[in-house]
Amino acid sequence: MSSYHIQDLRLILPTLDFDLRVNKHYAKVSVQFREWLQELLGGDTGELPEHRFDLLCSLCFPTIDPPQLLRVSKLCALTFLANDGHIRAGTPSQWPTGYVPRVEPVFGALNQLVAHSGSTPGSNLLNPEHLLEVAHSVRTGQTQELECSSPTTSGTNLLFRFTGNLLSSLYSSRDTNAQIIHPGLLEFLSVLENAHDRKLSDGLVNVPPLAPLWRCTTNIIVWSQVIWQKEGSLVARELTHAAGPRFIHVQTPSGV
Amino acid sequence: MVCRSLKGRGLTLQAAVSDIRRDIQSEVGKFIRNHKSLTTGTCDNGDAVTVANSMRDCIAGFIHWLYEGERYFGKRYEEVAKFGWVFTDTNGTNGGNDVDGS
Repeated sequence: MSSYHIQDLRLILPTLDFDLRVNKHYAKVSVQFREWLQELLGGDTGELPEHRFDLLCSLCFPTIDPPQLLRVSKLCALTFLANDGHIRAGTPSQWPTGYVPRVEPVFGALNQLVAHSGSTPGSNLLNPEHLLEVAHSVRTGQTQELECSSPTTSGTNLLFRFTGNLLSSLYSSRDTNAQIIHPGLLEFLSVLENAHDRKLSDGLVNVPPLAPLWRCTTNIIVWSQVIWQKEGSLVARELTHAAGPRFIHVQTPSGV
Repeated sequence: MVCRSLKGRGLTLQAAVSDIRRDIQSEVGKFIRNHKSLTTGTCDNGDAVTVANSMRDCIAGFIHWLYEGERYFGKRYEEVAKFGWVFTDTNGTNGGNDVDGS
């Protein structure tokens, strides 16, 4: 048994010079989220670690409205749980029980979810065929029709944009036979576009002043979760990724 | 990343973890400089400022969340958050991260 001491990363944050905010709808949405999660997992969440995805989204997106917060929390949960092996194509009874640790980048698992050939129980939004349809519509500028035909909540539109952008990224990378990219974080962050009740201009990821900020944000988040990975899993991860970096936006820290 | 430090550079686990923490701190410093440059500079793109502020929310939110659940520290995550010590099974037989706050 070995041990190490973690210097509290939260101590770094005051230098960001702003107050941490929790979405004021957190408590209300949390109840709905937990009910949904229990239903999704067939009422058996006993063996699942308590991830608190709803809290994560409440902290990361402190200003979005309740429908958005609930949907983003669901999407976040699906992303993580699919990546961990808790959610797979098929019926809930076919899902594996217990915790199946698989170390993958935070927010980067949706590509695996999408890669499943079958539908994702409990979520039409994450049905691969549906996502493809959304992606195609986004790419061809036909989002208006989708938005009108969907329930008129900003959260739904938000997810259409999110999944569409994500799928576009994924399939663009496939087209060019490029490295597997890690769009999850950036795309997840892109939901912020709707967080301020106004539509932001397209292509903000590529605005020159923002590029280094995206890079820093991605590095901070990915590196900070890497520290905490279970050691056994860490070894597996390093072996798995020995062929090269999985991320396009993540740098290797100097000297590591 | 940690393992690369352990094996490639001959660092102890503690040193490797501290190494990465320094890198994260450095990256936070870069973020602050770039953010300040954006908000006080000549950039007249209000949307860009909004997104930059939102990134700040995400960084802070994510790092706080790390300490608020069982995903990384198991059942005793509250003790890790409080005391900062993580005990790992070096054989990896139980997936590591037995946590002892003593």
